[in-house]
Amino acid sequence: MSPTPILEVKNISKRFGDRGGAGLRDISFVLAPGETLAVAGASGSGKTTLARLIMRLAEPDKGSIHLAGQDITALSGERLRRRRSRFQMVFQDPLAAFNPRATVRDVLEDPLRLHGLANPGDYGATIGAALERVGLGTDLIDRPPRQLSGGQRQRVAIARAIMTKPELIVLDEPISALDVSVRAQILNLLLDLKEQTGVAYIFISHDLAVVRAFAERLIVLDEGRIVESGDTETVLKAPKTETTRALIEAVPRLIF
Amino acid sequence: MSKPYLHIAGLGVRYGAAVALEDISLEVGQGERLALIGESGSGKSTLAMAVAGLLPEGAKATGSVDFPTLGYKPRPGKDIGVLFQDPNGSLDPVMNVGDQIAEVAMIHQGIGWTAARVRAAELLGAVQIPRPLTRLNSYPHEFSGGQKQRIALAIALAGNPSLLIADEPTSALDTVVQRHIVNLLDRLVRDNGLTLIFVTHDIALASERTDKIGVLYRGRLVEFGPAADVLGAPRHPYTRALVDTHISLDTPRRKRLAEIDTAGLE
Repeated sequence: MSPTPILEVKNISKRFGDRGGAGLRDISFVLAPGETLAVAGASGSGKTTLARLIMRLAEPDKGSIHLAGQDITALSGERLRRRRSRFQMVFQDPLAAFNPRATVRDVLEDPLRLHGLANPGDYGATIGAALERVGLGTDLIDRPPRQLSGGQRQRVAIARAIMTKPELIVLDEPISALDVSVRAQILNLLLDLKEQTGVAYIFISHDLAVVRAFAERLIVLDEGRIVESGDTETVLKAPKTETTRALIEAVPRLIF
Repeated sequence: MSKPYLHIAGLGVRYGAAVALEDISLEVGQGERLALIGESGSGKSTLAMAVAGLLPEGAKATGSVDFPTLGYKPRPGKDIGVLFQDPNGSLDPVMNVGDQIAEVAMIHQGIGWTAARVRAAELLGAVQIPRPLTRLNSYPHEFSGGQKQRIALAIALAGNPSLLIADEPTSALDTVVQRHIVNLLDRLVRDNGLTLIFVTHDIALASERTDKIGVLYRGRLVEFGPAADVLGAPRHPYTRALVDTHISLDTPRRKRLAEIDTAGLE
């Protein structure tokens, strides 16, 4: 028998996404430990709504979401809070995801304190180790995120996400706001962390070239439905739907 | 030889002590499409804004930016249309889009309000907003992100400019919407014989859509020439690295992706 999936999404539907987001219709999929699944689709396809549901930032109308075998849609309050350390999220724009008045130290101390992961006396050493793992020096620990470059900020966001040793990280367009020259570095960092820790990723993106480089499996969303899914390379080689073909066709080709 | 549309010689821009651009010289012909490529802080937007005459207060420019075929100093909004990355920053949230387009047409084409509203409907149609007449009285928030960028394009074109400057016009949009907008931009530029300056960080997009490429690195124009030459035989290590690390649909799959070694670029 295959091991318990890290994430199992069972028939979830949502009539409307919150904050004006797209709805979802009968979404089901399974993610194995250490696997990377890309969720691709155009704006309004429901990608972000799906991420918010998995993160329990919004409630589905129907269906359930299971994390390591436990139905997290049935959890609330303290039980949900305790569970939260096991799934984390990295957003497209880390600046919007950080308290603007916090320093890097504050940002990284929060998960330690909230989840009781270290003794206050050890915060400094734990934060230093996390920064090192994401390729940053401790010299920027007292700076606010807005004084960092886009790539450095995203590294801090990744450090915050791995702090709690999660089994799943939802990456919502983690490189699309970054300079081209640092995109590969961030993707490589995520690949390294996956190899070291066995974390599984949900990788949300509209750029199929990046999806192909990063994720072994792919689901394509259109108007809240899964219209295609499978091994990334197989889906891209022989797309079966107009949606996937349009996404492939939309990737700019380098010609000279 | 015919006169170029745009002639830049020895252009430098400083913000206080910070040098944003240094010794830029280039020429763009009438109807040519130029891509400006570079990372954040390379000076590509500063160069575009220097051409548009829209440098912020406090910027000190030296050298010259001339428009030989025009024969006069171009007026932003009339001779030069500008399209920015974030349409929310260009559109007035409390004015209907018909009035926003008509205002530009009226001011810069010297036509009356009724004619300007008619022109606004034509422009909305040209940028492929469905049922343009019925959408004149809609407000920006009633449109999607891609549609808002189309409306911003209609405003940029409302003065009948001869030059369109598009500063990362699709970077905030998804790839499918990006493709639609870029196709539209391409067609309108060709149909109207516009000269285009397209600021982007995407070399593939630049290679598909422009005739010439200029690469900026730390405020200097390190590469300038026909797109195929610049990308096919890059002279500067930064350009070389951009081409080598580009992630495309046919990049061979490897365990790790090729990175740009910024330390090795000096």
